[in-house]
Amino acid sequence: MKAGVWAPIGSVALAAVSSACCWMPIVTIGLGLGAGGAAVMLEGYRWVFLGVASVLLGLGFHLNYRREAPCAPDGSCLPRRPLLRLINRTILWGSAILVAIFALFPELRSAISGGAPPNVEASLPESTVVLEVAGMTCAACEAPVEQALRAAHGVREAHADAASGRVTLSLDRGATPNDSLLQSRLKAVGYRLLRREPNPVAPASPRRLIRLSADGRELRDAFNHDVGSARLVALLSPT
Amino acid sequence: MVQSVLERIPSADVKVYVVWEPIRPWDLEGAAKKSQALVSDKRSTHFWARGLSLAERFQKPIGLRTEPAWDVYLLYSSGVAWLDASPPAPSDFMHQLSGRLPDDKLLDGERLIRQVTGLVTHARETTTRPAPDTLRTRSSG
Repeated sequence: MKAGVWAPIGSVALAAVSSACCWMPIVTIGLGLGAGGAAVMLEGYRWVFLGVASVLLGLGFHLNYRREAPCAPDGSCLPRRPLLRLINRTILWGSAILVAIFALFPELRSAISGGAPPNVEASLPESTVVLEVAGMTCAACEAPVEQALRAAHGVREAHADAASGRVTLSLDRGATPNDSLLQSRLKAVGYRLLRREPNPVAPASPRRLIRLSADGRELRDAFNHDVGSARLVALLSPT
Repeated sequence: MVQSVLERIPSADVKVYVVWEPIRPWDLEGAAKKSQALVSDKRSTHFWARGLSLAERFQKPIGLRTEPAWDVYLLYSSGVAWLDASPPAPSDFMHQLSGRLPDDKLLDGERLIRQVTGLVTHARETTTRPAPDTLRTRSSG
């Protein structure tokens, strides 16, 4: 096959491959498969797509811009088709811009596909428990309590508040320290566990960005979980 | 602003939910991730709203008609639950939408601290009342 036929095919393939991470979720929506799974699956292959796209891009430029001998040694000459060349180069440059955009701005994938699927790991709350501790009667009591509880296996962070007599523990994912362990830690420094507050599910730590569903249920759940606290909801633009 | 408020109120009885919204075309998730650093307090939870439906739901509780709710700070006292699709009415709110919401509610850091502190005090008074099972535990110990 001649270069004049290969060039547009290569350009179209290039455009298709480089933007696969974007159109494939949309196609799957049409097929009723849901964008989430496809977007997640394809996101992992983004660099492969970009690599293949780059190779095709180089091939496309080579075929479109190589210097062609006007006539073969036997005297036959290739027909000049300026319109086809213009179309090929337009598609090629459009594809190149497309590849560059998706390479530099991966967030566009979520914008085009209607939003990325909920990041399951990011949406999973890091569990916390709130303890009511007896004997914390002054601010100076907070530090030893926090120190003792931080030493317990599975406890990532402890925040004591003497005023309310409560200690908030942030736990490692999947960790479930039992009350007797916590009690022994507290007794060692002269305090006593009164009770563990119900509902151990808590919102994620501030380091995580939780993607909200359209109905905002993740926010609502966190809001209702903290119903015993004063709450401030800030609605902000990131820029 | 939110971070400085939290630094002035050390109590664990306050929770902050920061919802980053795509108000402008360039408000992408990556920008929201970077902006998380502005509120690093452990009592805060960050959310990324992929659309404006939630911002629209917050319009009614604050009486905003012109646009989806953004650049607003809603205060809720303890005991308030979010039961319906629409968020509950806040105890009070502040904003930076001059001309579109009442000027007497323009964001004022000191006033916000006072209001949050008042709500924290209320929350403590509510939560430090001993529950019946707590009394039993104490009496047996």
